[in-house]
Amino acid sequence: MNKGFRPAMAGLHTWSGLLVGWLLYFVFFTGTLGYFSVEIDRWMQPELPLQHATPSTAQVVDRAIGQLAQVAPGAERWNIDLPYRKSVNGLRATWRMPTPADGTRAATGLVPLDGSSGERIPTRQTGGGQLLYQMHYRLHYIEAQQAYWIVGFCSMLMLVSILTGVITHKKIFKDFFAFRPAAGQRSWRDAHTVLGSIALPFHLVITYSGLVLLMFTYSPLVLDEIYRYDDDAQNEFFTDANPRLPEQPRSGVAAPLTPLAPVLDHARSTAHGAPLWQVSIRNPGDATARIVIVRERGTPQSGTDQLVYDGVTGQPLAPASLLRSGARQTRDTLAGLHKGLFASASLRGLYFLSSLMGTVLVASGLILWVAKRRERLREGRRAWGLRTIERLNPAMILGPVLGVAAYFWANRLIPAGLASRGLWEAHTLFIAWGLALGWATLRRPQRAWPELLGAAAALYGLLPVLNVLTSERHLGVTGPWAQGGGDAVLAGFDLTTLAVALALAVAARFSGARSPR
Amino acid sequence: MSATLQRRLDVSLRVLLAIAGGYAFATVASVALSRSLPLPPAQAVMTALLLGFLLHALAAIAVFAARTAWRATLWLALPTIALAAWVWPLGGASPV
Repeated sequence: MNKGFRPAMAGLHTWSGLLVGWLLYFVFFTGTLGYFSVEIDRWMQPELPLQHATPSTAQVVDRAIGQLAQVAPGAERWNIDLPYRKSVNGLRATWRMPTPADGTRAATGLVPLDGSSGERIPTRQTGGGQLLYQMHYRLHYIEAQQAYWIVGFCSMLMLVSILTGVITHKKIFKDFFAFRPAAGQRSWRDAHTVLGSIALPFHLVITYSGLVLLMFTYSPLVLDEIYRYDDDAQNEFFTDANPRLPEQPRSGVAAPLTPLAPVLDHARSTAHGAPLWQVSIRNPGDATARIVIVRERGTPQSGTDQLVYDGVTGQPLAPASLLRSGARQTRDTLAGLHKGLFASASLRGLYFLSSLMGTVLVASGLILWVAKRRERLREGRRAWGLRTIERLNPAMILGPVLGVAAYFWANRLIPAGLASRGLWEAHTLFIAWGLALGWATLRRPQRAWPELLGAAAALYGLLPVLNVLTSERHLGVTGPWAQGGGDAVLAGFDLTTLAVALALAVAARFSGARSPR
Repeated sequence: MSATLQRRLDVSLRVLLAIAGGYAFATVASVALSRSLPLPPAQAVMTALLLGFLLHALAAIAVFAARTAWRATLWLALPTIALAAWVWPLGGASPV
C-alpha cells in the first residue's frame, strides 16, 4: 500500500475525514451557530423588550433579587448575570437549591427578567440558541454520555485529519494562492485547501480544546488508575484541580441581605473599569450569606476573578484562594478559547467566520471525495459506496441548514401557550432534515443539490416576512430606521437570514447551471 | 482482485489499530506520565490528560506511516507493553 510517508498521510487524511464527515459537519455547523446563541435566544423570545441603552443599576439588581426571593427562597445560590454584553437584554437570573441529602441532583431554575426594570416577563418556552449550541456536543435524542463519546471520537479523527492534512499539503502557504475556480474537481480541492489553510490555527485549537473540555469523560482510566477507584480520592482530585469557594451549609439563623448598591460600587472601584459579569449570592437570607462578584476580564480565563463579600454586613472578605497551577491554567485557557465567551461582538464575528470556514471545510472535503472518484469512475461500474455517499451528501450537508430554518419557523408558528412547544421546535428541525433525506434519495444528486439549496433559500428569505406576521419584533420595529433607534441584535438576526438566503440562492443557481444532465 | 482485497484488509487493520491501539497507548502513556512528572498529583494528572490527545494523534500517524500493518502493530504494541509493564509490574499492585 505504501509508496511513501506523504501518500500514506493522504490516505489517513481521507479515511479519518470520510469516516465521521457528516457528523463532524453537524457538530461544526451547530457549534458555529453557538457563538451567537445569546442573540438567537433573544430572537426566539420576542416577548422580551427592545434593547435599552441604559446599563443595569444596583436598583435593578435589587429588584431581581426581590423576584428570586419570591421564586426560590431557601436556595443554596442565586446567580444574576448582568447584561455586560449589549446583546443580552434582560438579566439572566438563576437559582439552585441545596443538594439533597440523598445525593440526587439539586433543583435549579431560571427567571427571565427585564434588563431595565428587573421585572418578570412571561416568555414562550423555547430551546433557543442554547439548544443549538448544546447540540454540537450533546447531539439530540440520545444520552449525554453516549453523545460525548461519539462527538469525542469525531473530534479525535478531526485532529488526526488536520495534522495529516498539513503533512499532505506541505506547500500550504503556496497553495493558499492557488484557487482555480470553475474547474470541477480541482476547484473543490482548491476550496478545501484554501479554507483549511486560512483558518488552520483556529481549526487546530478548536478541535483540541473541544477534546480538552471533556477530557475527564474520555480518559476515565487515567483517573481511576492514579486515584484507585476511590470516590473520595477522586473528589479530592477535582478539589485540588479546581479550587473554589467551599460550599457552606445554611446555619438556619435568618439574617437580611445587605443592600447591594455599596457592594457593587466597591466591586466597580476595585475592578479598574472592567465590567461586572455576575452577582452570585450564596445562602441568601441566612447568617452565612456570601456575595460573590465575578468580573469580566476580557481574557479567555475570565470567570476566575472573584470578589467575595459578607452577605449580611457587606464587608469585603479575602478573595477565595485560587491556587492556579500551570496545567490548570492551560486547561482553562483552552476551554475559554473554545467557548469564546470573553470575546467582544466583533471578535465573536471572527469566531463565527472561522467556524463557518470549518463547516464548509468539512462539507467541501465530502464533496471533493465524491467528485474525485466520479471523474475516475469507468462506465458501467457499480461503485455502490460512491453512489450512496453521492446521493446522501446533499441531504446530510443541506439537511441541518434546512432544519435550523424550520426550527426558527416552528418558533413563530407553534402556539406560545403549548406546553411541549420547546420539544416540538426541536422535532421540527429533525423532521425537516428527514424530509430532505427522503427527497435526496428520490432525486438524482444533480437535481437534489439545487432543489434543496432553493428550498433552504426560501425558508431563510421568508423568515423576516413570517416575523412581521407573527411578532412585534420585526424589521419595521427593530431596524435602525425605526423610532427610538431600533434594536441592533434583532435587526441583525433578520438581516443575517436575508443574507444567508441570498447566498443559498446564488449557490442553488450555480449548482443547477453546472449540471447539464 | 486479491491485491485489492489485501489493500482493503491493510487499511481496515490500520484504522482499527489507530483508533483502539492509539487509545490504549495514549491511556497507558498518560498513566505513566501522571506517575512520573515531578508535579503534585492533581497537576500531573491534568498535564498527562492534556497531552493524551496529542499522543493518540501521533500514534495514529505512526500507524499509517509504517511500511506494513504488521510493522505498525509492532511499533504501537512495544511501547504500550513496555510502559504497561513499568506502570503495573507483574506481581505488584494491579489496577483493580
